[in-house]
Amino acid sequence: MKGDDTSIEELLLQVGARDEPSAEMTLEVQAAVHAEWQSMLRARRTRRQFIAVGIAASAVLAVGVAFFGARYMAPSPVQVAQITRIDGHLLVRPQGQTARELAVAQSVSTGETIQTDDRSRAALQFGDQVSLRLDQGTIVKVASADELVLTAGALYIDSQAQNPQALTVRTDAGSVRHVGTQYEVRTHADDMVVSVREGRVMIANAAGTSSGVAGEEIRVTPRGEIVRGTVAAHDPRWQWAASTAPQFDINDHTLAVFLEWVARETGRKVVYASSAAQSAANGLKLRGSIVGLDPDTALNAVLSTTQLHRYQTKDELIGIALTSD
Amino acid sequence: MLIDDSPELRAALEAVEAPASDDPLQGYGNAETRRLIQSVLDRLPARYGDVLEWKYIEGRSVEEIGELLGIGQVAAQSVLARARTSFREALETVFGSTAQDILGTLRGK
Repeated sequence: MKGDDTSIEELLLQVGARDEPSAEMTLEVQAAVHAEWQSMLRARRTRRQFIAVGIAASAVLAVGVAFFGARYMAPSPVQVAQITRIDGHLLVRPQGQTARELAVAQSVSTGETIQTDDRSRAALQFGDQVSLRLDQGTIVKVASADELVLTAGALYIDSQAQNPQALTVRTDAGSVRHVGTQYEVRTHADDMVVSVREGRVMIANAAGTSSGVAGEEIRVTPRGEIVRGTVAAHDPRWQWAASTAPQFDINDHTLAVFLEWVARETGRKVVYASSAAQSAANGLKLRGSIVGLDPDTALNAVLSTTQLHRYQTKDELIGIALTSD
Repeated sequence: MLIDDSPELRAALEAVEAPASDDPLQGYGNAETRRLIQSVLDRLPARYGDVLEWKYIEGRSVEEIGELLGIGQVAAQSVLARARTSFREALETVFGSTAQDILGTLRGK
């Protein structure tokens, strides 16, 4: 058994860590391979099966070539993000041009560099599924539709877990890719510090590839050293990202949907004291506005207008009960 | 969970199974073999692929793996053992060879 373990270890070291493909590419590859499998199952189970595996592998390669070809063959600026919130000032510097100030609802294109000063933060909707937040003193270039280059400050990325959109953040110390997650990339001197709040990220640097999972803080030095620590999803260090969250329009949303938004922004989970409380939250449609309120303040404001309230729980939970419970 | 516990996985892997006479390893280049092995890792049940990567590529301890999975050290050791078994089965199904043989082929090319 020990010998088998050794051979597995040596084999995996030869093969190396898996590269995390984009969700789009994954779906295409799975579709291609699945189609081949279906085709093969219908055929006689002879040599053709082996040939078809080759075809499937070729399909994977073809999709990969198409993916990376498309990525590097689009030099014209493309609008990839829209400003959803600015607390202070946000500057944009198109390639080869002078900087100008951006306003909410304006767009950012590939090739542009955006930056916040030491007293400003901003949020952008990057593509359909990624909420991008810039902390104070951040400089980031939108290199392409799926690549950001961070030279100062910190980014917070919130990508929905289902069908995640590919996005790579590069720094001098390495690069980070996610698989449907919430995480922060911060430059600190020459180091890159990646904090994972939810999901999983892949980190690449001069020394190779490694992964980071929820609850981990990974410091990567330019020399390739990696030091791992921990960070809870509700740790106060995420507060800046929650306070920069795009405004949530509560109108016509149920209380339950609003609670899930608050939970995601604050790294906690919603628990109900009773099924009656949960039913009430699911059935209650909200009206009004929480503009200007951070998620926790908005939560208290909204609950005060309902028959539900928060009850005492652990820090990582939001406990909701009926006032009559 | 082992491969035999999952009819879908078994069917998928059997679908790419080649006759022994074809000796798949001889037909693949190293890069393609590596990619197919990574594909096998992707298709292992639960988080076995992750567990194997954490242990053998990233060099994490069983205790660390347990923390990542939110389980105890004994349970993590058990998951790792099942992951190894599942991976060995999958390799033999797809390549018709043991990990040792595949390793030898990779080194020999």
